[in-house]
Amino acid sequence: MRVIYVGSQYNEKGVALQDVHPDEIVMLVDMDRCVGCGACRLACQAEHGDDAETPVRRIGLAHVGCRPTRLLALPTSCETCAEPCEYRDVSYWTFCPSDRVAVYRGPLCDHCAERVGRGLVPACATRCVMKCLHVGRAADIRFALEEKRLRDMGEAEFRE
Amino acid sequence: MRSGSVLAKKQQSVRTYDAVTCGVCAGCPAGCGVKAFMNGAAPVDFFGDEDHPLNKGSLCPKGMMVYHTHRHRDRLLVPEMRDSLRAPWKRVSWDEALDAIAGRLATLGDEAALSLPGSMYAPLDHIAGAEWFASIHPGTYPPAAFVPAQLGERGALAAMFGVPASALCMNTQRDWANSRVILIVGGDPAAESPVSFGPLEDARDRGSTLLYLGACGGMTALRSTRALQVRPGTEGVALGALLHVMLREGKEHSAFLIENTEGMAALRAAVYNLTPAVAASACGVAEEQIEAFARLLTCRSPLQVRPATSLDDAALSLCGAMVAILGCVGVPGGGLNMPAVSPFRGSGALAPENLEQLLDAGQCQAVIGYGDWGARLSGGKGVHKALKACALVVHVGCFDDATRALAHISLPAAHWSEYASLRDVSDSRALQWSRSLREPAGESWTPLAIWTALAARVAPSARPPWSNVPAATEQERLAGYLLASNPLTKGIVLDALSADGMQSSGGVQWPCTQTDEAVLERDRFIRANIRGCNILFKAHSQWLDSGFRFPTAKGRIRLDAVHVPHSPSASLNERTVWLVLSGQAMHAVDHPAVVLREDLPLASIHPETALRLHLQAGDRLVLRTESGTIKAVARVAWSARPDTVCMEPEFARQLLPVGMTATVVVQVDKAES
Repeated sequence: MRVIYVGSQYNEKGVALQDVHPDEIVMLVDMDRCVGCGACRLACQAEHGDDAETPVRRIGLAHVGCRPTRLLALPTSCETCAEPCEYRDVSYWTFCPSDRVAVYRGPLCDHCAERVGRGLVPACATRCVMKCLHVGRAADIRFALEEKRLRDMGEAEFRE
Repeated sequence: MRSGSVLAKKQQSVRTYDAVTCGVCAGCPAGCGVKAFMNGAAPVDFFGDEDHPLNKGSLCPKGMMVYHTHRHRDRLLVPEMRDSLRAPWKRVSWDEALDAIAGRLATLGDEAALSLPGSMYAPLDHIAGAEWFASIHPGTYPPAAFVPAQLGERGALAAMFGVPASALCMNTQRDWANSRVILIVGGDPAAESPVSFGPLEDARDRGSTLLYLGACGGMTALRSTRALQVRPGTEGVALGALLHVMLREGKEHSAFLIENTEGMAALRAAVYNLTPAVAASACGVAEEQIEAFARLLTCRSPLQVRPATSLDDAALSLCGAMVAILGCVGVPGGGLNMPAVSPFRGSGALAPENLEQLLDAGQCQAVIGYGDWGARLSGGKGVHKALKACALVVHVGCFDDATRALAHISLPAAHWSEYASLRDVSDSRALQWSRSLREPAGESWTPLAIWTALAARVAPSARPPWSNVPAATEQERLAGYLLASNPLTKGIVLDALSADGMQSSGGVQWPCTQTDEAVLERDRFIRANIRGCNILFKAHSQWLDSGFRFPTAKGRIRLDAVHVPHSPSASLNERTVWLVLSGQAMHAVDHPAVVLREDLPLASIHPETALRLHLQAGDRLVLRTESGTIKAVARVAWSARPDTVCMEPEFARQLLPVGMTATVVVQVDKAES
């Protein structure tokens, strides 16, 4: 039997982010809570020093093609490409699955390496209004997913 | 700040800083805490304040714009004047600008000819200064346009409860979790103030039923358990039909009605004929939808109703009637909660005229207004022509906007982040003191300084009523005066709000009539931020000295003051649709303060309407009514009803006839290029 502790004091035994291997860090995005306010997008711009004049969109707003149309702000979404390819609606990529690197030369998500190196979470996760973004080792933030599954009676799915 | 935990290390900057200051955002009524990391006198980074109980570290895009307000390309930095509306702007000194204003005011004469418009979200010090100026300058209309009539002392809700709607919030944020059903009427809170929507979404996740009734099918409707998307302007009709169903099913709380209300028979008779069948055709929904919605409304108790400030008198009064009939008043989790409530607005000697009516009648010759009031004027070309004939138009604001194009004199105002002041407008009845996060940009002045300097020229011997308050700065004197002179806040002293010993900002919830009610809370979830008590938590709480558990003047809710509307009727042809103005921002990231201003505003159209009118996304449109014509860019979205076009009010008010608020029938055509 696996016991999972959930609570506001739960996270005190977690490992500091700077000691975790980058490949082990996971960001959990709760799509049901997202209202598409775009705080994550502006947080990314502010963190990387882009001013309001020249927004470089590392985070895009995607129209998910179901009825009704939903506007979701997705970290590490593929909206950054000027001409999105057929992979865009299938999943959300952090690297380009088709050979589009030559077309788009702007910066992609760098996972806020400087912040994570100091044990802080990426900028988008700091300002999310609906608390949709959880960052850490998979084991440490699993509670958010389990809690969501409990609420949704086991119907929550996630895409990797 | 919590230490030692991984997930808590969020709102921390990686840039070099030596101090941290906390202020309170004024972008929307939520009143979130903003934490500025300072390097010397200049801020280098902004985050949400994680110890603030309202936002708990988040910061929405409107708050994030504080990064850019100092150097925004549209930021106004110097006073400017021009001889006519076609002449170029000339930079002048503050003395020259204020002398010119005083000089032209002196030529106006004694009949009331000066109007001081603003909006409900204008800074408190601007409103206080304007009200004082109106009292010392003959011929000035009091700033009545700050609060729409239905939210003031003459509205139906004020007649029912004895409290103006602008101060009517029965449950505060920590109480919302006790509501088992939450009804949101009108507006789009998830887009307009997402941080205030957070606890509502939390309540939904904990099993409460979240219901939406309104014309805008945006994010709030998508995140609700059930949404009833009615034709714009028919929210009152739909609410009346829901009341009809409730009474027909016998869901009223008889004991509460007998004890605490009067006029029930009149209300019963008024909604008797407003059946779901009648309402369905007016609202553009199916009869079964109204019946199902009514069942969801009454399936559990208590009910909380959250109307939008843009609703008309009938819809607001029916929201109040609904909670009264179900007995959900004065109980934890139940009640009527307006957004953007303040103890200092909506009362006093308000003139019933608003600026459009004054201009339409040719009774206004000078205007001094804050922000983008000109874009919100209804009445189209007629009103704008009258405005151009005014002898003096002064724009006071932070940014270059559409109203400045109508002005002769432009005065740059300091942004909310650039001076310490009192935050009174709140979704949760909180009063907060916001510290200054940076120096005012350019030569901008605070609105209070502008009014004080103008008053010194117009009536040199007049002293404002707050001049005797012992405090260090003018803003503190004003805040102390307002707190002490209002019966709802007289237990609050400014030192309790602005204690420097605490790193985080915090506030007090009103009503707070005794000083010992402003108690510092040490509970670990709150961490000593919003201080004071939510009156509904106390078993023997009373509304001021009335002895009742809810806001009331005489102890009884007057249900005969409820307006039950008639169905609107209009003829629609192939090319006409209803226009709805959906609130402050259709989508927070599209807000004009957040992105570079597009050359044309966006009009959201349902895909079926786009097909019917042969339009595609990106087409330039012409929207026309009898009042005026505007151009827009088409945006195809499911959030609009098939018979509705949604736009932000800032761009489309000129399509409305004088005095109308939210809806009108427009003709939509593709623009010839």
